[in-house]
Amino acid sequence: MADKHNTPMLDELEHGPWPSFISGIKRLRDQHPQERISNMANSLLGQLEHSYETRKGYWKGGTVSVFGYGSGIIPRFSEVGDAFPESREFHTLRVQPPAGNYYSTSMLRQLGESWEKHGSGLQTFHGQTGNIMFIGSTTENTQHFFDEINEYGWDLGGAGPCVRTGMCCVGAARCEQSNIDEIKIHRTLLNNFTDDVHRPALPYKFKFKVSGCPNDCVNSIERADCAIIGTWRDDMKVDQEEVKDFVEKKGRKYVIDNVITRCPTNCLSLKDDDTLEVDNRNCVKCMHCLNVMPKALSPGDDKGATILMGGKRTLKVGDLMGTVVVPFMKLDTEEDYEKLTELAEETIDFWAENGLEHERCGEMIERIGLVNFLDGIGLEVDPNMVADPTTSSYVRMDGWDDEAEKWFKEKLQAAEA
Amino acid sequence: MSEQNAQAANRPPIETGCPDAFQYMHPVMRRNYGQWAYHEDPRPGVLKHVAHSGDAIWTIRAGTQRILDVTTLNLLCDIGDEYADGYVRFTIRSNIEYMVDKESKVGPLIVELEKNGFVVGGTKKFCGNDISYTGLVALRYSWNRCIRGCESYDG
Repeated sequence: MADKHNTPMLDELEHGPWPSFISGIKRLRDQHPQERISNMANSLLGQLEHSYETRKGYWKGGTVSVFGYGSGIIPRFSEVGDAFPESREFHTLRVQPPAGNYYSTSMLRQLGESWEKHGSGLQTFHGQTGNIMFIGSTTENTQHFFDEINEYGWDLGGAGPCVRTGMCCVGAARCEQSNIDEIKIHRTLLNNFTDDVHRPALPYKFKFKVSGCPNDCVNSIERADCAIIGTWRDDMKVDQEEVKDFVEKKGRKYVIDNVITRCPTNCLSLKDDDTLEVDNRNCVKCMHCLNVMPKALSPGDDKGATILMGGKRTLKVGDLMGTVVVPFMKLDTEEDYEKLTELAEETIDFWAENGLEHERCGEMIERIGLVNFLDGIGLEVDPNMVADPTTSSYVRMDGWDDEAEKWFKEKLQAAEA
Repeated sequence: MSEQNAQAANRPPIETGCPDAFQYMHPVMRRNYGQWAYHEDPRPGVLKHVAHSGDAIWTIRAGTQRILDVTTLNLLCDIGDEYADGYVRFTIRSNIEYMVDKESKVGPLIVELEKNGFVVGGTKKFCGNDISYTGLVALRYSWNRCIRGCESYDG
């Protein structure tokens, strides 16, 4: 190897109890048997230290792809490649993880081995897009690495204006709050849009995320253009014996202070015999009591999903949370899943037609109005579509009578049909 | 090689999309899919989930440096094979989770993880992993890879 670059500033990042990625890159530089990898690591450390010294980034984008795809690789070319030649090309491959991010150690080893053969030996499980990030490959080797892992079942994720790799929570596999089959929904949706993942042809990114309950462990409401969140519409289940047990263990004060009074809609009441009364009609599914008392309280039996559209982080307009477009839908049968897929297709088609360049779905909804969006994707306006639960008793009454008449007429038609 | 030959040498991708997760899932989780009753928190970084069937699974969560070098990845796998059951998952904040089917495996696994410098914790009301988009903890990883360095992340 050429001389090791001095990295006094990066060395600072090795202090403290948390494992350090700098130590990791140094391990590759100092201990890895392959000269190609140790040189690459040395060069990368050199450039990074240079960035710290000059307080500037030196990576440029470009165009790199594998044969047949238009996305999935994040190209990075160094602007200071002459000084740090071995990491001159340092592209990242985004690879779709299994829904729920499960791995066997043997599969992780196999992926690591392939990556050592072709790449830098640096990877992240997972990037914030939900992909496995294989960081640091030359232009030529992206193809070789992809060919190898593609043969044993791995495919690239999305990058650029396309349907992006999805995310789902641990869900039904290991969580009692799960209301839907997260893995099935995730795979049904993503694999329906495989073509749109690999070939960017949309106004901008489009993300699906699936959470099994309103705890929303994958932040779908904040991040996903289409969020599927599990919920239930009957009463939550209360095991009164367990409630009594919990009160006995923790004390009434603890239960009142930490559960009862923390219900945002005041629908919990602890009775004199230490059983719990729930006003289910006013429950907004904040999940707090279920989280604190998982043994005593659980979701109801009539489970399904709420669909929200238009969540995103800041861009043209500031952060937007998803808006409910389907208050509740069952997801039990294949027909239900078809309905969900059709809704997603309608939405993406409508947005692809009407969205401006570099405009997320939520921004389009802001621009054209929710009513026009709903009309475009073929959904009827419903009073249950709420952006936020009401916290004020003020109600706008303009146009009330007309809308009420329309509502009852629709109800009547639905009943007749 | 002519351009045409170069094209022919390329292999068309197999568009499998998102892989099936069940093949990589701990057998206890596979058996009790959708049948979990409740969970307990034995200690920071450890979760115990109990299914209606009576099966239980312990999850041990540890923080990693997120950008893993392949040596660390193999070390995590070695620990997983020797002290756990060979099945892991990653949280969306890049913590690694080991799943084991017996309580007796929890203690030695934690000792081994901490011995190797990983931080066990991050469940319930404890501090979890600090994460960055490849360009968000701007002055750090961003220079490592991201061109947009200090800009906001529009995920």
